[in-house]
Amino acid sequence: MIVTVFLLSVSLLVGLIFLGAYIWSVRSGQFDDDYSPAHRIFFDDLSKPFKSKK
Amino acid sequence: MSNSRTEQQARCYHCGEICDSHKRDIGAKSFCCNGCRSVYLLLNEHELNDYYCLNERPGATMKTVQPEKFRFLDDASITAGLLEFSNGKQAQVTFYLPQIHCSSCLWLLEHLAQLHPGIISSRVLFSDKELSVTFKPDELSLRQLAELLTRIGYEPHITPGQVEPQERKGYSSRNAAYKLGITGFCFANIMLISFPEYLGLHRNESVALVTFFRLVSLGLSLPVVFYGAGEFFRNAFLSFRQRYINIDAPIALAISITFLRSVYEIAGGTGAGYLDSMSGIVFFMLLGRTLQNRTYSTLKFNRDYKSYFPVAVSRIKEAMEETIKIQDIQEKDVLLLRHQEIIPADGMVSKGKASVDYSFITGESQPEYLSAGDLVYAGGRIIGNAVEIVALRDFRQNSFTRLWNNKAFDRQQSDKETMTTVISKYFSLAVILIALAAFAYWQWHIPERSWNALTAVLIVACPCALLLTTTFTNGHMVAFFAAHGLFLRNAQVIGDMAKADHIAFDKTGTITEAEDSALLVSRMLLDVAEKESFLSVMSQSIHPLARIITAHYRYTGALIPEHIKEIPGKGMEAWLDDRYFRIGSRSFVYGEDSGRGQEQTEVYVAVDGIVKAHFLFEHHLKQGVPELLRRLAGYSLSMVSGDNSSSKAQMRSLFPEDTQLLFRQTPQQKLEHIQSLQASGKKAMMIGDGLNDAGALKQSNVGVSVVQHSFSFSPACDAILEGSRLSDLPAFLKMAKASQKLILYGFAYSIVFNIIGIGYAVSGHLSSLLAAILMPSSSLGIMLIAYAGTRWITGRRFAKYSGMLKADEDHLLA
Repeated sequence: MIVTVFLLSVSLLVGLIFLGAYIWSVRSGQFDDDYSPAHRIFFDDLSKPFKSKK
Repeated sequence: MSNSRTEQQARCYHCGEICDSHKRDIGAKSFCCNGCRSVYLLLNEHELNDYYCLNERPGATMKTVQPEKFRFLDDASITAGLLEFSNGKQAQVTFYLPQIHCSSCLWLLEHLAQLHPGIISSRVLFSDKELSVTFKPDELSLRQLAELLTRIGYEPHITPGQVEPQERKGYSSRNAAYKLGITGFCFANIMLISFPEYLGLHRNESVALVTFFRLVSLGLSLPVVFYGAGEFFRNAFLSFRQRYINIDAPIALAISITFLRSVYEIAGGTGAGYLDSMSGIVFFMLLGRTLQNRTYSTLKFNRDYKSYFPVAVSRIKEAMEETIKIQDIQEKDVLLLRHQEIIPADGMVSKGKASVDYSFITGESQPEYLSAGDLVYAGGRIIGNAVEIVALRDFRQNSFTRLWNNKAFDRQQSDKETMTTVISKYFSLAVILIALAAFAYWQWHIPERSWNALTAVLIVACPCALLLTTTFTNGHMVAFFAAHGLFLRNAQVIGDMAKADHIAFDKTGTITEAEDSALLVSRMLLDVAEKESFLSVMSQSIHPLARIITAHYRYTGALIPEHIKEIPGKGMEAWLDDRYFRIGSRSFVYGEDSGRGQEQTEVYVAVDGIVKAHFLFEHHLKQGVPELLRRLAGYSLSMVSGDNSSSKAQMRSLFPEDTQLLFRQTPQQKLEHIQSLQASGKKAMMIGDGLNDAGALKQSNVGVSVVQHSFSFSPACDAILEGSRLSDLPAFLKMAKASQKLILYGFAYSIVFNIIGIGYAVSGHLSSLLAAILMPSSSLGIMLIAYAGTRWITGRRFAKYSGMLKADEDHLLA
């Protein structure tokens, strides 16, 4: 039955990796602002950088 | 009603406000004021027109912008506290911009570099309404940056507290996310590992494997108990120290007993315990709490008077103007105050003439006219010309900071007796009695089963169901309210709203518009020439009533009167075209005291001794106020105003007959009014807007602060209501009541499960499989009830009542 123990450990390990990824994403602030990234993606880039006057 | 209001309902292309007589047009686009117009021109010039394409009328009104406000940012000691980073070539600063509200704001603010070469980049943190800007300090000073933002309609909000270096706030929402993630992970894996137990596989397997499974789930349950459920233990401990039982106490008891019994079973090899159900419950409860406590971090509910004042003022010393921090104002300092600036300290006018608007402080609706020698009080707003005042007191000894010394402000936001705590108290008592009865019974018959029965009852009958209904229902309600312009300090406010039976209103700013008076022409016998002369006299005065009159007639001419004299508090007299004008109050124009009290704000005009015109000023009611008051028929009402009784007749006709109408109330008297209501057993809700209501808002059971825009200053309160949503108040109250009923229904539903569970538990036969079925299914059922119930409450049945739905549809169509 050692294979069950092994499989269980591996599945827990995989789960822990995802938990770690989740914690990292919270820590890096990805859940702090759920508005701007979703809208930022729609903005067209302005081709010209700074222009003083027409 | 002035014609300009009803005739043209043109809306400002920039901010969406209704344009009045001062409107300025460019092509087909209307603008309500010069400020809005210049924002448009500036953006147009820099090819940032997309701002107006993303959303309709995205701007903030530019009417209240103070020029010269950011002078203090030239002061190095102040800027040092604001800059997050600076190396001479580059600097970074984060501003709080309360005007941020839509994708247009996001777009414009992230394209700031387009407006000025000195700006390197800018980034918005939308949920906190913050903007970080990286810029080159040699090309653009911090003051210029703040002024640039102001020019495009995003005036940074810099409070005195922010300038002092301080720790940035901890992210409690992040903590909740960690907790939820870790508990959820452990819960799911414990469930997975427990599956063989449910299916009874362990009987065929080796003892070693079974023990391994159980030990792994025990290991996984440790973070659940000691990290995830930590806040329940902490709250329970706090409640014990304060000698009352909150809902967390029985939950903490149930969790610890479940855990201990599971450890005991696993250690003894007699069973798998109830770790799966326990971690499931903890996870669901944390989920509910998170939903309920999603706070609106951008709204400040605890603001005190300090954030109303500017960071710094100009002081004149030895004929030089310098900027000093507001805390450093001392007696006898000479301060220079410009248009729209707030008086930081009580003082005396030493030079200049202006008006002071005290509406926010006292509720007085008409600005007071000032000249040299007059006393001014802290908190007033200067309108018109710049004045110099001599401070009579230090900043800290202001007249109105005294209000904050009232004990109502010391009152800790103690846990009030909410419905939930009351229920949980009786519920816990009943559960403990049942558990003890079962224990006693088995002790009598089969003693070895008695501990089993006792713990099983406590495990299965945990009041977590009550917590779940409360948190999920409240969470949905809070989110719905916020989407409709009512922001609650916390979920408890819903319960307080449901209980309120008296509503006290403030007048100025709540029922009536603060700055806008309607002009009624009750008599007009002036001929054309006389009218022209009269208006030219009026245009010489900066008295607010004179301003209203000239605005009403859209007078732009400029005849210069030969002789003109203004008598403060009374009126003015002038000679023009060989005619003698006397304009002002009744007693001034008629030359005698009429004897009757001032019931009306009015202006008389006499030409050569004959009264030829009479103007009345009425307050503009806020939109929907008469209807609002009609719909609140089930409540007893009262009105407390700091204003004079000039609008008494108007208010009398507005409110139901037996309503108590109080005028000339000081902030202290307003607070006492609420106290006397509470002493007579009423649960009072106070609705106000200004600092003069601060005491009453704090004292009341529910203090609702009405704001024009969700970003303007509001005093400490329990809820913030957008001014345009005031007429929805009856619907909000109904929904609050309905949601409290829903909590009761959800709780009744969970009782059914509890009775089944307890039935098994007292018999001593609670298997972990049964517990694992009963607990999550009752939790899921409750979540469904809460969700469906709040959808129903906030749906058509109530919303149609308020026109709320209509507003939503308009919004969707727009």
